[in-house]
Amino acid sequence: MINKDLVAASSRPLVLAILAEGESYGYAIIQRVRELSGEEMQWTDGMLYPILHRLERQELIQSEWKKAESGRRRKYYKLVSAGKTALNEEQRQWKVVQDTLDNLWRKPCLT
Amino acid sequence: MEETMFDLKEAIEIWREQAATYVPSEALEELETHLQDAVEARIDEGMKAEEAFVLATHQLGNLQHVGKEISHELGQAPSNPPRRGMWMAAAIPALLCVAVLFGVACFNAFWADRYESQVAFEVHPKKLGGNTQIFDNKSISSEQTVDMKTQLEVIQSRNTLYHVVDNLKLDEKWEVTRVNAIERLIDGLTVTQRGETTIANARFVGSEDAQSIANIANATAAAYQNRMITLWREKINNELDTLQKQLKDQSDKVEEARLRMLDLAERYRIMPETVVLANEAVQETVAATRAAVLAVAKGLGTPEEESLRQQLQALKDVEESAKDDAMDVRQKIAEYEEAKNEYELQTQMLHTMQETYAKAQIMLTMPLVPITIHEEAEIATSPLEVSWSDL
Repeated sequence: MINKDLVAASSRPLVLAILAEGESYGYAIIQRVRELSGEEMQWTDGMLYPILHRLERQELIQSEWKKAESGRRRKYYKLVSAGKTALNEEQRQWKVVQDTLDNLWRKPCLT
Repeated sequence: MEETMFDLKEAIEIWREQAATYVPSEALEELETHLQDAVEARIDEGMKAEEAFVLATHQLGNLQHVGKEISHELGQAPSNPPRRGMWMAAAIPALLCVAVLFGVACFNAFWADRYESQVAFEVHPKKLGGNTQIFDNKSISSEQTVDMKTQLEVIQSRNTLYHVVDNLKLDEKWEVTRVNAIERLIDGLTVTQRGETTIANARFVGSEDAQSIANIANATAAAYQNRMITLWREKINNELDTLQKQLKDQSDKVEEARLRMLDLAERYRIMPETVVLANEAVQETVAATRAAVLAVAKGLGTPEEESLRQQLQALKDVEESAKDDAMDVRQKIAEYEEAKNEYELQTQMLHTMQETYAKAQIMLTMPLVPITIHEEAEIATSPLEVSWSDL
């Protein structure tokens, strides 16, 4: 299980990246994260919504109520162009973190 | 009690009423849809509706917390002012499944992540001054056996927990009264005996962060430790008081013995050579008597015989009297010796008691650690898994 701090830190790029795959809604986003992480990353479901609202407030995503085939109304979110830019910047930053760690961890063990 | 069928629709209505206390209306429908999706997915996996509902609401997280975050993002207040939702929930009539109400109510306590931490410490207090044997025959060291049950109760007593609340300022932190903070500690605290040992485990579970939970566990051990220290100090102080009284009594006894000894010495005119003189006096009279016996033998049949016999008789009387005197002196000496021994004995006892008193005084100035903490509480790395049976 991934620790809470890491889960919290990665929530923004995760949501942006999942919405980059296509529009989606809260429950489906959480299922997607769970599935992609092999259930290693588990969110407290409710905490996704403040993140979605924040991204919307920052105008990185847009929401729209739609009726699903089941007849249930769902709020769908989709990435807008500012969101794509934000996602690129997230990717760049995470890459730096990842490379830095890789550099350290790939060094031959001297001790 | 009559069993009622679980009604998912009713349960979700109640949930919505509760959620409206914390979540702005704009976000409420979305959360409700989420809950419905989550419940349905679980039912599709074969779970009972009731269980699916309880687990889904748990997975949704602490509503108060979620609502606060959402309100913050939206800049909006919750759709219902607090309390109304609760009353509405309580007012929903009979059809309602009792278990759901219970479940919902319980979840207010269980919604947030919970952490646990535990600390292990010695309950059997070290014998006070175990190495110095200060109070060798009574009181403090006499508490050889520890009633574990009592000690476990002491650990989780309000008196001990009051200090935990006080030290960590939990009342301020939780924004509750001290009494309520103590109650909350009691709810989260489990104290058990480790096997048949005198080691106690204090385990604390709560919905604070892992660090706070570990702090609470450690503070509980420390509060108990301090309580034991206070207890020991009280005992030593009591012991000192008793000793002081005993010291005074003993000083009186010593003085009494000394006076008696001096009185005898004076009254009997006892000097180091008293016995020798008495013995010499006896020997002199014995020698005089022997000489008189010889003189009588020589003077047998002579006109002086009668007078010699009379002299002999007189000397015998003197010898007898000297022997009596010597006996008397020996008795007096014995009496004096006894008084002297008594005085020495009482003085020795006084010195021992003075020494004990001094040691006890020193002990009060030393840091006391009557119990050992074996394992300090660690900060949990992940929250507790909430199992169905916990609910």
